[in-house]
Amino acid sequence: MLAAQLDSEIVGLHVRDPYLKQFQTEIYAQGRLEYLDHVDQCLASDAEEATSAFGILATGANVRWRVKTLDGEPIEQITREAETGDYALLILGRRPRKGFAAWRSRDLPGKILAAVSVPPIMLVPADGI
Amino acid sequence: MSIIRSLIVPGWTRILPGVLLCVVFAFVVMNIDHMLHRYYKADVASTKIPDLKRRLALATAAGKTKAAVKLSKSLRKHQKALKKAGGKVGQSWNWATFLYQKAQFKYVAMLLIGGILIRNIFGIPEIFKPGVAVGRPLIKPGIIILGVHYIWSDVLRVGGTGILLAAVFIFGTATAVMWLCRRSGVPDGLGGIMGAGTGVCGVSAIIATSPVVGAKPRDMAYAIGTILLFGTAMLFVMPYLGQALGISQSQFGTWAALAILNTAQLIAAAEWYGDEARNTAVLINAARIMLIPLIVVFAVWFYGLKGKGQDIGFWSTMAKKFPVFILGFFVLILLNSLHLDALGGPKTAGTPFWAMNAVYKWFFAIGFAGIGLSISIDDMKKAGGVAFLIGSGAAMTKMILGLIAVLIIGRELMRVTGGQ
Repeated sequence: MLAAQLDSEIVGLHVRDPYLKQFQTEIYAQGRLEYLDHVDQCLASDAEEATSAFGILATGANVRWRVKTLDGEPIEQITREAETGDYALLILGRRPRKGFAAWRSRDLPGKILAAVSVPPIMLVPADGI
Repeated sequence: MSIIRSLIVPGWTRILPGVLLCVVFAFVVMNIDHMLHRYYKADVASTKIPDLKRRLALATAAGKTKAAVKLSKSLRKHQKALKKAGGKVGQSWNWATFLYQKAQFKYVAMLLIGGILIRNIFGIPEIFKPGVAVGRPLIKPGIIILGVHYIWSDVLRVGGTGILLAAVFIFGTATAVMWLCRRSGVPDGLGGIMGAGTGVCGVSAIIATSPVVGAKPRDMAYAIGTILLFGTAMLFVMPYLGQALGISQSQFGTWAALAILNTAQLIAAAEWYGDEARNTAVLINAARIMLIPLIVVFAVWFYGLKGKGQDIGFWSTMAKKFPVFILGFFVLILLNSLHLDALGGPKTAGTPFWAMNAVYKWFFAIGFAGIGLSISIDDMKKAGGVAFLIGSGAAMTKMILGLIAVLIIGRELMRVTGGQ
């Protein structure tokens, strides 16, 4: 809504995280190339799905949009993109967690928030406060 | 020139720092292990020497020549151990006995616990990560070399019984897990990788199976996290549990090979427990990993995946997923069984097999350094969802059933003799 009212373009960032690829060095791993291909295909199809879902939402809200796909560790990639790209506002989503769930979580939005200088907006689900 | 170039691993400069880190870590720990072992032996010698001297005097006075010779030999051995530590009778090194004997703080434990602490407290700089990951598979040459510890009768007796047991456990677990997943509405991709992962050898089996069953990344992360969590927990719990239960080396080796979900942790736990446990575990594990292609074929059959556009026929799967390196292990067993003078044996000093036996522990040490430095709590935090429920159920069931099986089998059947 904010983007529509300001007539701004909204850029979706999608990061293809190669995390699963590291396990190809497991001692008795067989069919390593096939495994890596499978991971690549999954990452590509997830990126397509995310782009299309983002597009539907943005188009529905009558906002100009595009999706930028990055490769690498998500926190690192998003932080670098936010700092080097020409962005006026960084919109993040966060589901508050407590106790064991908080310990398990990587807290991606929190870490990005701490690392970037672009003004952020943190969206929290209504039932999450 | 092109031949030499083809021998160089592509991107070797990227992996060199991490591999060197593993080598240095292994070198330091192996030296600490030797030092602990030396002081432990000296502590034992310091306690035993006065008693041996008294018994030797009694035996000599009573004219018991045979007993005197035996006691004298034992006395010399202990005096040598004491001399190595530069100590005197009456001196004590209780700390070494506690660490080495009671706490079982040997090189395996030092590398694994040390590696985990380094990785998770201080972190590993990016430059070392690719090489540390490559450190783990360096256990493979160690396993091939271990072939000199066996002869064919061991393979037939221990390996034969082991493969039967392993087949029952593998296909029993895989069938039960896949069936339960299907009944509970778990996606085929997750059910397939959890069946294979909890059945055969953890992450290795997940890697072989996930492309075939079309597992989703989120499910793979859950499954790998779960397998690593239970594999690591069992690695530290089972050796102490085995000691508390008083089970023999060969029984522990069999138990570890049947129950521990991940291969790296299985070998580490067995090596930690002792040489005999490791010999039994490695042989059963060699039989077990040859079943990886069969578990993939089983998953294809179970989920009716044939004819969905993938090349997943029986023979092509066997060829693609067969662990070829294990043939090297069997070739060495064959050569050892032939008792060729030119090759000697692991205990015949100065022979090729003796030299090979002397270096296997270094491959293991570097590999364990890689394993310890790769165990990340963040990876295990990813354990969750249905995969966690399946993993915990399978891990506990295999641990209990495996223990019952080895208690029934007894100590002798699974003992590797190596022709001794």
